[in-house]
Amino acid sequence: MISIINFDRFLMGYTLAAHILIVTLSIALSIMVSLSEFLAIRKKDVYYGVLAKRLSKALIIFFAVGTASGTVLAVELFSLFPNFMVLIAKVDILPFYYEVFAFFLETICLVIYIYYWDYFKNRYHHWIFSLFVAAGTVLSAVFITMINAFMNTPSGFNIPVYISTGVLTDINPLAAIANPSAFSEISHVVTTTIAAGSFALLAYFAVNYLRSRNQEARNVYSKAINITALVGLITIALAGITGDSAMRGLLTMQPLKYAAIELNYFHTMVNAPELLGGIMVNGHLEYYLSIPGVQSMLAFLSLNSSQPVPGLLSYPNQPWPPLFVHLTFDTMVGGGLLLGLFLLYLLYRIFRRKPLTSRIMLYGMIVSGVLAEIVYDSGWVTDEVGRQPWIIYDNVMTVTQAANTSPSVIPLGIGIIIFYLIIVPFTFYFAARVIRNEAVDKELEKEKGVQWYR
Amino acid sequence: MIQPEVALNAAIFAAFFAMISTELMAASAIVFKYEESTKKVFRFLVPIWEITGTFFVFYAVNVEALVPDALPLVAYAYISYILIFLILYVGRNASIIAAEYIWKNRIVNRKLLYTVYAVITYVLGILILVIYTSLLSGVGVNATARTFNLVKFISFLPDDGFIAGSAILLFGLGAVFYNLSVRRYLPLVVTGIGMSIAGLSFAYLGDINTPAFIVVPALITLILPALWMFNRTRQIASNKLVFQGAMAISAFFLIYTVYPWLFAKSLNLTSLLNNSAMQTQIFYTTIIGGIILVALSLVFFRIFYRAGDGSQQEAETPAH
Repeated sequence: MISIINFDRFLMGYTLAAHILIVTLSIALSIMVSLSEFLAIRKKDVYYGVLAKRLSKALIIFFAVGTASGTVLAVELFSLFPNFMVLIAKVDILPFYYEVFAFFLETICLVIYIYYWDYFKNRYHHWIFSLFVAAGTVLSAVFITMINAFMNTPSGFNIPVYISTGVLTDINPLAAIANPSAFSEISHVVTTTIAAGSFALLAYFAVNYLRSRNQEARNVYSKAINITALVGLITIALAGITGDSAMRGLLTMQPLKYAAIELNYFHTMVNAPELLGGIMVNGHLEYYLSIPGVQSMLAFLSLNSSQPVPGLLSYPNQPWPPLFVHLTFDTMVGGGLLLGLFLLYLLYRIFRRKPLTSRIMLYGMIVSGVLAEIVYDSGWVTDEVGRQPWIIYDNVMTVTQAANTSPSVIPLGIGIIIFYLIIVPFTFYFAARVIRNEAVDKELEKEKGVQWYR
Repeated sequence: MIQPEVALNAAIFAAFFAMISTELMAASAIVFKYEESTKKVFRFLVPIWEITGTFFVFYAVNVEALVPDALPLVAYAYISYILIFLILYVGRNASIIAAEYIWKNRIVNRKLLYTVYAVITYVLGILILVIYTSLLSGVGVNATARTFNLVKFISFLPDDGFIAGSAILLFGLGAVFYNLSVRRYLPLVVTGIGMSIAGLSFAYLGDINTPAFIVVPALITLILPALWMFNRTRQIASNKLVFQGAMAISAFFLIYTVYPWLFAKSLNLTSLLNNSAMQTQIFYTTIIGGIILVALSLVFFRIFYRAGDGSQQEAETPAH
């Protein structure tokens, strides 16, 4: 029978995963809408104009459900993990507070952008609101990640005193925000989120291109594919660089987590190999491929480093995180690499002036959309599970100490799980249906009739 | 004198109340006067319902920052209500966005979805009121065991009276805010009845510390429907900015009457306040963020009025 603490854990993870699905798309959509409208105005191109309008409908639908699922998470944090929130509220609640204002920026500007679309005679004035929407969504991600970074590398209070007495002293909220892993984590989360959302949109555009029977609709989707691929390429490249930096940060800031992620079943090692795959069977490593020296080379950016990488056996008295995080990490890195290579190939085709809309390319985009979500979720699982059993690393607070153990959580939590099983697919279906409800030809006709294009 | 951080929290609650009350009033209008709502309610409700949700988050985070030590009590005692609230909150957003964009007019149509939204909004309002009223009266709450007994809560008449009175009051004010076609004296009568029940119950909840301040919400609540009765002043009463400002001022002074007490004067709020380092940061962030928020709101209302969604043309509709 599952314990209440594990149920809290599952419920939080489940709602977070659902929220992530919606939010990655919201962030990518906000950027695509802004880019499309800018190109529409700049080039006086009705295809981009139609694209901006269609995507903005999806954006408001995802935003509506995304804000609700975000609120669910915020409230769940204090209702499922009240003791955790007490500590956060006393030391590091400022990012939550900043996020509220980013949220206001996003909401009010989105409301103006969507509901007063035709109010602005100068289209650039209208477009500026889309910039604010995109800025608000990205800033929200930045601030929320600050909290996650604090959970990984807490600062801004006297940690030894807290661990020994449970009393919070020397509180410095600004130092808590500027915790050691904040920058590397924020840069990685923002770039990967935009990349994952872009790939998902790329898949959507590819499906619609394949389904379209008329050239006008294909023109719209072809332009959408071009700009989305470009955003995806830039962000996946940045995601690789920031991910590498975040991983090396773990070496010093979270060595146990690093050791678990790399499945380093030793004390410490110089010139350590990189393991691909691998699981522990009866205290032995099985089913893996070892590439000599590569781990140390990537960790220290040197072919002949004399520095050792940390291993799990250096922490015999501490509970290790579940070691399957090594597999989720491999999935993230391997999948991310494939996505990057695919986009590089798309870039090559663009330079050779070949279309991106050949059948094989389009199917590739669909596969990459699914793969991107798997990669993105694997990254989050690696980060969150890799920190276990701590909710705040290291020895500050365990999940067990933080959790709400009221039995009432279970029946209503099951209710939330069932409700999400309905509402999340419904949101995707509904947004897609609303977008294609009006034929592209009709929308193009309407758009061509608008004064400012002439 | 009220402490600055508590005053800010009260001001945020007042702003949130002003927003949520427009939705609660809209809910009544949608259920009882749907056709009229399509012309008078939706043009305001549709752009602002997302902003209401943001105000809720704003208030919730501010409470967390203000009184962190109260979080375990709230989390344990009200966990069932909180989780029900969350399900309904997602349902609220999903139903209204679906109502806005639905393309069919079959069994599941725009009217049904707006009605679902209205009912959910009402239940959400009641859930919020249950939690707040129980914090004021303390009836049904066992702070030591961190439990909440709904039966005990309901058995205490002032608890029920405050919730029912507030609902009646908002029902009455809804006709004023959305300028609905009802008999001109009806909103004043209904609001008066609601205010009497809610006011009397509020007094019996047992926290009133500065009774003089209760005059402010009482007067505002009666002045708005009274102004609405006359053609010359109707436009003032149903002006969205004036009305919401008045609602916010009422809520602020209502909180001030009980400050600093909770649980029928057995819990002093100031004993739960957060450490000074965090309070200082929160205070300055609220001021700076508040200025940004006011600027954004002014931009929104400027566009709202210029686009012709204000109360001017509605106010010209004669009442029976």
